[in-house]
Amino acid sequence: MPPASLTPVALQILIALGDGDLHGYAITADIAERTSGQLVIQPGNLYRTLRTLLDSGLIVESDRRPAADLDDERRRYYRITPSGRKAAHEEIERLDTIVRQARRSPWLKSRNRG
Amino acid sequence: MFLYRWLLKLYPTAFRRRFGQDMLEVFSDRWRLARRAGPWQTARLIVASTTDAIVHAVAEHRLQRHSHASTSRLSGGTPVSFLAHDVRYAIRMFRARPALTAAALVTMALGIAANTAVFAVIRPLLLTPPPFPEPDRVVLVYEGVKAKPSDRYVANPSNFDAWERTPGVFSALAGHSGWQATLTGAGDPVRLRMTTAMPAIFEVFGVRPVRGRSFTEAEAAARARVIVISHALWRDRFGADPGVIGRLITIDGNPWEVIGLMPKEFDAPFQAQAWVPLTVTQADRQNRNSWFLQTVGRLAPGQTTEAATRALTTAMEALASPTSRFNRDRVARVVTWQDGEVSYVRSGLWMLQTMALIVLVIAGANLANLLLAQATGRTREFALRSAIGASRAQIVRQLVTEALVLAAVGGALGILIAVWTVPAIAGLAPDWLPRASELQVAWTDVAVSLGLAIVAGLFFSVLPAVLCVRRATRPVPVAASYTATGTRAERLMRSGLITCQVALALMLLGGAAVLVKSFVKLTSQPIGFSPDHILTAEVALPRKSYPDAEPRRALFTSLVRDVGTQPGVRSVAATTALPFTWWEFMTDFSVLGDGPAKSVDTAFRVVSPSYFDTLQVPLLQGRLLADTDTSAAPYVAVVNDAFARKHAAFGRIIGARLRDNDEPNSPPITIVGIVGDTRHRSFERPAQAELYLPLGQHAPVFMTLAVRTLGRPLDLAPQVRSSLRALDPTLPLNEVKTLDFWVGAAVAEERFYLTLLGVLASLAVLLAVVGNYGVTAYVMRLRTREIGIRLALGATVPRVAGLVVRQGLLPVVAGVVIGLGAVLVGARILEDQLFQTGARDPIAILAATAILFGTAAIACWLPARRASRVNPAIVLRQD
Repeated sequence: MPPASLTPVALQILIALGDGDLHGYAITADIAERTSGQLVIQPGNLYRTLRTLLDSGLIVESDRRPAADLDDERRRYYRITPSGRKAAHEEIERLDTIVRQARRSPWLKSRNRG
Repeated sequence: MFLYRWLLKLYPTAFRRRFGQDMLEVFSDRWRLARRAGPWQTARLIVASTTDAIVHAVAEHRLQRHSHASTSRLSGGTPVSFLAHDVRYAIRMFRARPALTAAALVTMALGIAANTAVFAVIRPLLLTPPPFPEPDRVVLVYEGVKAKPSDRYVANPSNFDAWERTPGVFSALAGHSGWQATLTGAGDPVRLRMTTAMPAIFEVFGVRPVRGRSFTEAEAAARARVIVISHALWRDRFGADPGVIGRLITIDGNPWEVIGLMPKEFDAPFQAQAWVPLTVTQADRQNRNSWFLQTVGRLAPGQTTEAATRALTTAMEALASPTSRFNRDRVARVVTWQDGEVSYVRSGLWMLQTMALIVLVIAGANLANLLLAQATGRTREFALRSAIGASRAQIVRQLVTEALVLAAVGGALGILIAVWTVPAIAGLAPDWLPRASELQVAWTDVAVSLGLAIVAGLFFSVLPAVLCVRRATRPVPVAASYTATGTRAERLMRSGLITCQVALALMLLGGAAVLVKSFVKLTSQPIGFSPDHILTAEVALPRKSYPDAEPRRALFTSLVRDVGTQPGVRSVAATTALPFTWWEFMTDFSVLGDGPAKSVDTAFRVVSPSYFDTLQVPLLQGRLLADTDTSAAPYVAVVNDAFARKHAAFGRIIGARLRDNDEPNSPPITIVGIVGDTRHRSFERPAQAELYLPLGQHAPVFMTLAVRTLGRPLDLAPQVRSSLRALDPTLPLNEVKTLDFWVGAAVAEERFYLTLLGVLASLAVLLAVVGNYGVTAYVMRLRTREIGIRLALGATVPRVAGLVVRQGLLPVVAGVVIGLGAVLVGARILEDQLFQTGARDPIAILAATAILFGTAAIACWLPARRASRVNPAIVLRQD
């Protein structure tokens, strides 16, 4: 059962996993880098969201390990599933729609001009 | 880290099993990064991840409950989920009462900050063991005079010899003494703080070089130029060169071979930077006329300081004879290293810690009062909860949890405040605080402080919780709003807490006031010269390159002249002993008069003629020294007023003639003038008899420059340095400071205690007054209805306000009375720190009382005034 809409943190995690399998810390580091440090996710928030994503089948724990010299075997890696990619795309599409519609609002236009 | 592990316990077990380890990993990664980025980042991480952990633990619990809705939350939970539940409830309660919560948080934060900061400052000094093994066995050995138990003197070599030969007392004993010399060829020339020591010194401390070796008896006997260097010197001056052993370095122009490198922390004694062999020949060991050996020993196993003292004193008595004064009434004194090094500051530091704890007690009382106030207002809530089946224990647990959350969060805030303030305190610290510049809040301090916060939270919450639960679970709780201010026990407790707070605050404030008065008195002592706008710097001439008098004199004379031509310089002087710089030279002069020559032991300094003008020391009689007082002219001296007074019996001072007994062949010196007194070492000690000798007729190897500047003194340092370099590029300019610094350093200890105690006392008063205000304001709110009725029945506003203030001030008055009693009884502990001020100085204590009582009165009056202005019609219409 996919959730109705993804939380911002969940979406960011899916985007981070889009490029390859990552472990927890690498996910937060990737998000922090992509958002220029505006979004720094603390462990509690991270793992609760990961749990939700795991439960809804959008990500799975990865059994594939990265190259041996980069590997840190204590850590659990996560991989995005096809339905996770789909959910992320849908969410981005949904947000994009909202933004596009919002930009057409006369109120916003006058704000922008003024 | 352990803290985070603990936080994880807040999560439901299943979630923790699944993700706990990973969460810890993520946290530790970020922790390492933050630690590298600095304290600010670290603090941010602590706050962010603590909040995150708590918030999400709560959310996770809620989620679980929704999914297992059938399980009862009170009967089926684990202790952890109870805790999470109580914490969650507590947070909800705090959100509903932001002002009270903020007040409690700030209160706890300040109380914990004070304790953390003070503890972080004193811990390295009092609780960290010295950097060598079995420090209890390391002792300092002195000579003492039987009748003066606190006096300690360095040892005479023949006494040292006797001690060393006393069997069974020491497993090692070493004499040492200080030596300062100039290191060249390793960066800028620099003055080294060295210890010349007998080879046994390393055995005494039980520390071996980490590289190379220490020096041997044979090397000491042969006066070999071998040197063992400290880790810090190796790192700072030799770039941590791994091949430093065997390297030749230049000290005072002579080559010395580096033979050993000591371990990192080791710098005993006296923060030594290097150790060189001390040569004490057999002839030296028979010398009974000089005292120069500092002595450290390692006691033999099982030996005590008392037994050692007796044995060594007996050994000294064996050397005494009825015909000589040597060792008459002399004893040995043996004190442990730890006592000898820190005993004189120990009581002061513990006093500070005690004061900090008092501040915490005041803060805790505030917390208790806030909880009590909050709980009184929540009587109905508790009555309801108990009616639907909550046990007393559950409600008490809830209240205590609320207090603990407040205490823990407040404690964390307090630790952050301390992290910021400790460096500032370290900046104030006088020289005796070792490694003051490296002081910081360590993990030990954090752990102790958090523990303290939790203990305080528990201690101050249990009683209010029990009190208010007892009330809530009594039969007719709905009538609670009419017994508006709570039960008798609650009112008593409220007043009792205020009384305690006021009494404690008055103790601190009274102490601080007495110290302030003493400090003002001390620093307003006339020192006899004007220390502002003066740069000071030391120049020492190695005897090797300056063996003769004339070049030495020429160098100092030219230096004074050259620096004087630099822009921004008003005048320049050179002296062998600048006041307050701890240099002091004494010599034995004979006054040549009509009768037999009388010898006077007098402090003297060689000065350039510009000295009096530069330091603004006034001429009282006769003339000052002049440039014409050269070795070709008759030898002259100027004396200070204290000298003139002391030796008035000789008749006319001006024109009197002296001879230096240490140099019997030198020409007689005629006194040509009397100048004003200057204090030399401290504000306390009155000026001694002193003699000023002209640089033109003497040739010291060491002088301190005093440069009076137009602008900021230290800005002139480069020009002074370049003047010196132009005359001799091998000479270092040392101890570049200002005279204000030296004068300030003389009262550094007083200022340190005063500042810290002042801050603690202000905190105490602030917390007590805020607490008092909070309670009065709260009680006023509960009594609004009563006041409305009084006003409606015809009471006037001033009368109502007066009533309220009188009732509010009653516990304050009780506190003032108790506090005054405590101040008068406890004042003794301050006596050592005071100067010409009684520990029970009435003016200071009166002022403290007035300040405290005044602020407390205002704290009562403000809410009283507001309450008495209520509109009775509106109040009575409520309900």
